[in-house]
Amino acid sequence: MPIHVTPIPRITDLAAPDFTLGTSNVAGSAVTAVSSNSTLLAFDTTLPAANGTAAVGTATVAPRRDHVHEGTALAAPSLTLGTSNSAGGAATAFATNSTILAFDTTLPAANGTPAVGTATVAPRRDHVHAGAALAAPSLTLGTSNSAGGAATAFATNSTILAFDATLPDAITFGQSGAVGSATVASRRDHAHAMEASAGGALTYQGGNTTEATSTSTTAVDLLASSTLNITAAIPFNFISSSRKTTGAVDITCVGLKLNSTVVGEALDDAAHNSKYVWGGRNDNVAGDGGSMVWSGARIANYLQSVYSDGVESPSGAGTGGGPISGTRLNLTANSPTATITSVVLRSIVGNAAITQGSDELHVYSTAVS
Amino acid sequence: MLFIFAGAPRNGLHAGGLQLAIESVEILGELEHDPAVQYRKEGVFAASTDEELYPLEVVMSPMLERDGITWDWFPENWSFGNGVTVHKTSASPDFKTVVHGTELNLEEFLAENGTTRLAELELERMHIKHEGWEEYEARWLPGMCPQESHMVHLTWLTTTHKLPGFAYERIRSLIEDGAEPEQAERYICPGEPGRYLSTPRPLTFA
Repeated sequence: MPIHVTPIPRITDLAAPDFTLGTSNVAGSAVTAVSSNSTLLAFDTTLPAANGTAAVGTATVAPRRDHVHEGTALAAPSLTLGTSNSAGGAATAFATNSTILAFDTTLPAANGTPAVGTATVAPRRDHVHAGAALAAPSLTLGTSNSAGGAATAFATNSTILAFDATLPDAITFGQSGAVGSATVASRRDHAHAMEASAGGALTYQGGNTTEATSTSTTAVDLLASSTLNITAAIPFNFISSSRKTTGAVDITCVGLKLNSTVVGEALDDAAHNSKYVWGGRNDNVAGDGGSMVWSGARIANYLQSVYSDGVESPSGAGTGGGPISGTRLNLTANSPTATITSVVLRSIVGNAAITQGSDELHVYSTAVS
Repeated sequence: MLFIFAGAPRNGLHAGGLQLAIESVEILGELEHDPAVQYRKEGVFAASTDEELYPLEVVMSPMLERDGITWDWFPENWSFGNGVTVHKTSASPDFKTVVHGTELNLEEFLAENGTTRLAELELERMHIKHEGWEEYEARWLPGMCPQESHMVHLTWLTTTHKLPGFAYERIRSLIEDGAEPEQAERYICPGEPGRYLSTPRPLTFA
């Protein structure tokens, strides 16, 4: 089988191009060759614009490296100086090159001589000065400071005590006041409360006590003096005070009980209410008064020797004339012959809207030899 | 019913003031004001008679027993009346200066013993427990009668019906704890300061 050989055409070696690529193209360097087909942009012969928007993309001319833009076309700044800068005023623009001072971070001095001229910082509007360095007052002490006296100056460094905001203690028996200095002063019109108590029926000597009172419309044992020891042959007397309130047009009455015997009963008896230990007038009037009761010896056939004398006068509220008084005692029973161990004042009011009060009962026995 | 409490109202109310609180201001109960009704130790009677109307029902505050006061503290023929009453009893022991070991004072001792060197005598203060004192002391729970001058305040009131628990407790608080009354301004009468209030005073004994 024949073989056909087709020779491969020979490639003629091309000569190397005679252009050479320079490696340096800096200003002032030697002539530089460029590669085939390179495009050398011609320098632009148009002056660059003063301002505007730069174009993007390709161009056919190149700017000179030392090109410059015109300066006259720069716009002038538009800031203007306002005339008002008061607190709360309208917004104010600032002039070109105005300086806005920063707030000073240094605390203002307590005192001293203010500086004049300019400063690089501004004080806050709400700044305050410390008080520690204030000069001491030059007050002098007067000699009179008594109640109602003339005004008095105080010495330097005098301490004026603040009024105490704490209520004073309640008074208790045997309590002593504190001594020494204090940092607060009491008001001149301060008052102590009554002794606080968890209750209880007893009041010992030295405490506070109160009157006996009643609104009972039937006779009631109101005020008693017990632990007496008055034998039958010994006369005795007692004194007491009584009062009535307003509330209704009606009477009050105080009667007498010796031991367990009601000698002169307290009765709602308007016609005779001055014939008792004490009687409050038949009117809507407050009144008070007192009475003295005597008793002779309580011996056989002499058992009605108790009698009284008293007075009652209006005490301001309501209307109702002047004082009333009475003597004698409407006896409802004979006095007991036993030793008198208790004297009891009994009370009644004609109307429950009235309050009858009695107090200060003091019993005295008399000597017989 | 009869309710008895220890002490007088510490808030200054007197019987009329307490009555105002119970009936008008705080409306805690209805008080007995019938002038025909009288509460006594022995029962509830028609006033000034011995006609017993109905049995006595009594509530005594526990505070009373704490102080030594029970129902026996009230002697025979004691009257509680009706309405509201703030009662007061005073008691003072009698003391005597006697020669130690005797019940004689100095003059009585000299009368019996003739001339005596004072340096040989000892005097002491003796509580004389006479009939009046013994009678009074017997009213107390044993050992509870104070052996010094004192006052006994008691507050009692009578009602037409039994008080509900809250009302009793409120009244007890007004009296024994000195609780402030509601609407305190209603108890102030400028023209008559004593209309509803008592003025406390220092306690003194002769």
